[in-house]
Amino acid sequence: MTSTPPADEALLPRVARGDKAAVRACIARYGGLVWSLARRFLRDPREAEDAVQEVFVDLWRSADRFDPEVSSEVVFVSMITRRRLIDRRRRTQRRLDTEPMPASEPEGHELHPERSAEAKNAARALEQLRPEQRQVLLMSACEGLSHDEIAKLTGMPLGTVKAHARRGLIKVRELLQGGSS
Amino acid sequence: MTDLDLLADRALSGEGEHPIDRDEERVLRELELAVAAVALAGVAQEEMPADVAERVFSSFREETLDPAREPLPEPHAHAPAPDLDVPRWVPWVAAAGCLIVAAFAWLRPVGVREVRVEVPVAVPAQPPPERSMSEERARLLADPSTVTLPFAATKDQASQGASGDVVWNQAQQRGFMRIASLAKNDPGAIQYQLWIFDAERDDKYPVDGGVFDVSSGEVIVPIRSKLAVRRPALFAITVEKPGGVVVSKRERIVLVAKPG
Repeated sequence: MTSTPPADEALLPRVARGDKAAVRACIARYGGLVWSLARRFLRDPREAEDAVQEVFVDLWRSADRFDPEVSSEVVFVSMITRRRLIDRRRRTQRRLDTEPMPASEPEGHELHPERSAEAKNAARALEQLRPEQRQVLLMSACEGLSHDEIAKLTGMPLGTVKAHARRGLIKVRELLQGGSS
Repeated sequence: MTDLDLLADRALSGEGEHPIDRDEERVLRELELAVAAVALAGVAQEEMPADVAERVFSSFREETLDPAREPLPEPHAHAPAPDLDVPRWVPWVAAAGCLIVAAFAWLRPVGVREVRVEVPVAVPAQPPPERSMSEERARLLADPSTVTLPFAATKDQASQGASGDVVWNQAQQRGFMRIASLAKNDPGAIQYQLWIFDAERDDKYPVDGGVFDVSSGEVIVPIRSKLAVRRPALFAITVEKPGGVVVSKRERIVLVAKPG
């Protein structure tokens, strides 16, 4: 029987040392996040399954680069996950570049601040954005949609989408760092 | 558009060609972490299926962190021939020297000439659930039609002291790379990419063998080319941006292996 590590205990340093119990705990703690992002980014469940494995392999390899001074562990995991999923999505689209991508509708984006302190802070920052900035930023961050795809799905001009995404992200970074403007 | 806008684009899209300085790197990382935090707040989480979780755990066992991982033998060792006799070294060593010269002539930077790759095929480290990568490789080697080709390092700084081999089965169109001492890469900055040159195709259009990372001294990477390779003439590993490229400028070639 294994005990569950406290939620605030960093697991990646133990993973980096090859601790298999920490690996199990890491999968239990972050599997839902990685899986849910993969499902959003890739839609095809089989692609998502492969991608999840790829993300965790990257995570095992990157575990020793996690620095708690720079970010929390869950945000680090989310960052690695996005990077891998963006790569995967790009490759998938490259393979399908002569075929139209399946039609997709913009997802609803409720915020989930209850999940962690980091999610709460991010949700608070998002609430301070203009609604269209928030919408564009969430579509990009949570689904990996390109500016062009967001423009098509929302009907906004491409330039407007780009401006909303940039301004929204820059503002969120500022707010997360404790900025006031 | 400001530099900050460009970095924000890069953090969101994961794409960016231009080199950035240390300060910009720091800002980019902060922006990436901000996007990651947004993703955290914006995605409703569902549980990962148990079978997927189990495969993920298997992937850890088979990854390089596993202390039980077997050491990399000499690059010219052929698995089915345990009694490696010294005379077999000689032609390989000679061939490796010739190979480097030939590869440089073949793979010299192509300047503005672009190299198209028809179907990029990713080669993430996705070990099969039932068998480890080394077991899969050993099974492939057990097939008498499988060939083993030693890698030769170029003068690139990443491959100083690097070695390894390619095992390739033409009939099965499958293979594995085994690589030792190639410089570890930061997947967020660069990735390695395999190219397979096919003697029956124009050498301007090598087949993309996929991107991969090196996180430790020794790795085994599967080759899963989805384009048929009719007559492999050269396996070459280049350094590319994260996610790999469709068009390689062949600026950094680190390892090459050529059939005899």
